[in-house]
Amino acid sequence: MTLPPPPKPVSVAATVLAALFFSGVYVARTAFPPFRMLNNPRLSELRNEQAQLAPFSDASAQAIAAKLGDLRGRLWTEASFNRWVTDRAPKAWIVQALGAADLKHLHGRRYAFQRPNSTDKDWPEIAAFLGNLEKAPGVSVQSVALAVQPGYAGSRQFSQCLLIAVFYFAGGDGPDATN
Amino acid sequence: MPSLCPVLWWDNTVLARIGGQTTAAKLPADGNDVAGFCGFVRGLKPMPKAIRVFYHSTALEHFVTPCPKGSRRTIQRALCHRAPALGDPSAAWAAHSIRAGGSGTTTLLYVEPKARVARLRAALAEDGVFLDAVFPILVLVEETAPPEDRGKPRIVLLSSDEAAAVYWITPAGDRHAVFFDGTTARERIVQELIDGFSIFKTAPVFTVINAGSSPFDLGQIARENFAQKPSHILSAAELLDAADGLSTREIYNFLPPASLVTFDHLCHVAALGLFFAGALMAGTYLSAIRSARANLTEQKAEERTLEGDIARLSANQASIGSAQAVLTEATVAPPVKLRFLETLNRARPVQISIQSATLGESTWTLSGHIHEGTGLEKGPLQGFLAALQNGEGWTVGADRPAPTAKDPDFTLSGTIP
Repeated sequence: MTLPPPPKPVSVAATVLAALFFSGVYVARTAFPPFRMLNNPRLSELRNEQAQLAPFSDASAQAIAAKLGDLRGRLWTEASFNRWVTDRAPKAWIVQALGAADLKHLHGRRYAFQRPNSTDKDWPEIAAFLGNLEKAPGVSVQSVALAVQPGYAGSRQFSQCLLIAVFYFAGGDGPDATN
Repeated sequence: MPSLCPVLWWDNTVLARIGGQTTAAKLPADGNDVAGFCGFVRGLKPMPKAIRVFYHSTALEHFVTPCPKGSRRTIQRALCHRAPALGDPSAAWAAHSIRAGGSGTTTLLYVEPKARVARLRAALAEDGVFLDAVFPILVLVEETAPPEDRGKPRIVLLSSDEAAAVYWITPAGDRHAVFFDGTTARERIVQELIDGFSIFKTAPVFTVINAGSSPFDLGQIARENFAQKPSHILSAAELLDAADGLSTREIYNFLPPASLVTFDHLCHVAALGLFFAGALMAGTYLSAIRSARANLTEQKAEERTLEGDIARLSANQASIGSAQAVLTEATVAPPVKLRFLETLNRARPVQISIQSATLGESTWTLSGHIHEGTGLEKGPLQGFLAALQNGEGWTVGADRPAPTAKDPDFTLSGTIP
């Protein structure tokens, strides 16, 4: 068996060039691999943060803003409070401002409403006024205290008829006392 | 492949068939025979690009030998014990196609220990002539048999100006070959022919091939009481015209077939493989880079979107928090106080009077007096409690007096959820 003739220079050159090309590509792939960030920590962090904030959606914000707007629409002003007292509180009632309520985000004023010298005949008036207070927007009736004089005869005479309510106001503090 | 020019090289006699013409020459007996042969080829008109040589020389040993069928490698292994030169890379050898004869499978083996064919090929290559193959002359002689005579017993007398050969194939298929030269050649040829014909019971096909400038004188054979007449008489041109039927890959070629795969082929395959592998890698690499860049761009875009969402949601969180704080503070106590008092009035039996009632934001307290029915199991207090408990929006506490309480004064309390 005779050996085949040696390769032609052009064949060797082609092989060398192909080998160089292959090596170059291989080296480039090895040295500069495509950078694909599979686990992007920043992205994971942002996704987590977004998931945590998901409850605070625009719809939730709009819903609560609507509630807040509704509340603000029910807040009292000096004028509306005075008008309400004039219209709803009978003349026999004493209205006394007890000062600002202990609130951080709202302006609330506590008022005491007393009906002196009342008897059981005044109960419809008392009930009507209590009803007005409970129906009035932006008002929280904190306490109602009723007591009669001791004894059978005294039971028709109220020794105490005191209603305390908080009125939520828009803006600054209300007047110290309003009659 | 260029058209092949058949050339007969028998000792110093050379004959070429080119362009339909036969050119003959005699190489110098004492010179460089390879150089002389190359000079003869260069002198051919037109000069051939490729030649096929039919060769015999006095340096060529030949003998009939049993031989297994198989490849060149198989035959070399089988015969190297009888002809050690077959293991010598510098030697050249060839063998006729294996025939099944009376003594088994045999061949006619040629061995040239100091081979000229390699030098001949190199020298011709320098002249730009491709040496296609080198065959023994008698292989070509076998090829000249007409197809209808291929299996028949045959005797061939082949002669040139300076040598001759007698070759036969017995009815059993065995080969026999003798080459002659020198001053007594003619007598020995005649004797060989007589001996040859004597072994055939029926007359074989007798062929005479004249490769010399003058035909062999068969009249002399006749004078020697040899009556056999040749059935075929061929010229050198007719002999060489049969050259195309031989295959270079058979074992009768002195030039072992070169590997089908050359270094050039290997280089080309390697270059193509490397190039395509490199191109494939480059393609996938560039694709991966593009994909990675697109992925990064996508991630950046998602980051920006998420940052925007987070900023918006954070703003929502702040506004919701502040609004919630306001709404939480603006809690309005349940409007049940009037309803509680009205229920109290309706539920109170006449035997009970209420002395005080205090309702806070989440609790209530009641005190009173039982005028009649104190201590009864189903007294007025029990009915009062049952009626008070029916109201919605408050509960009656567990510290109420026992149903059979004998103390006429009582205190009740509960919660306003």
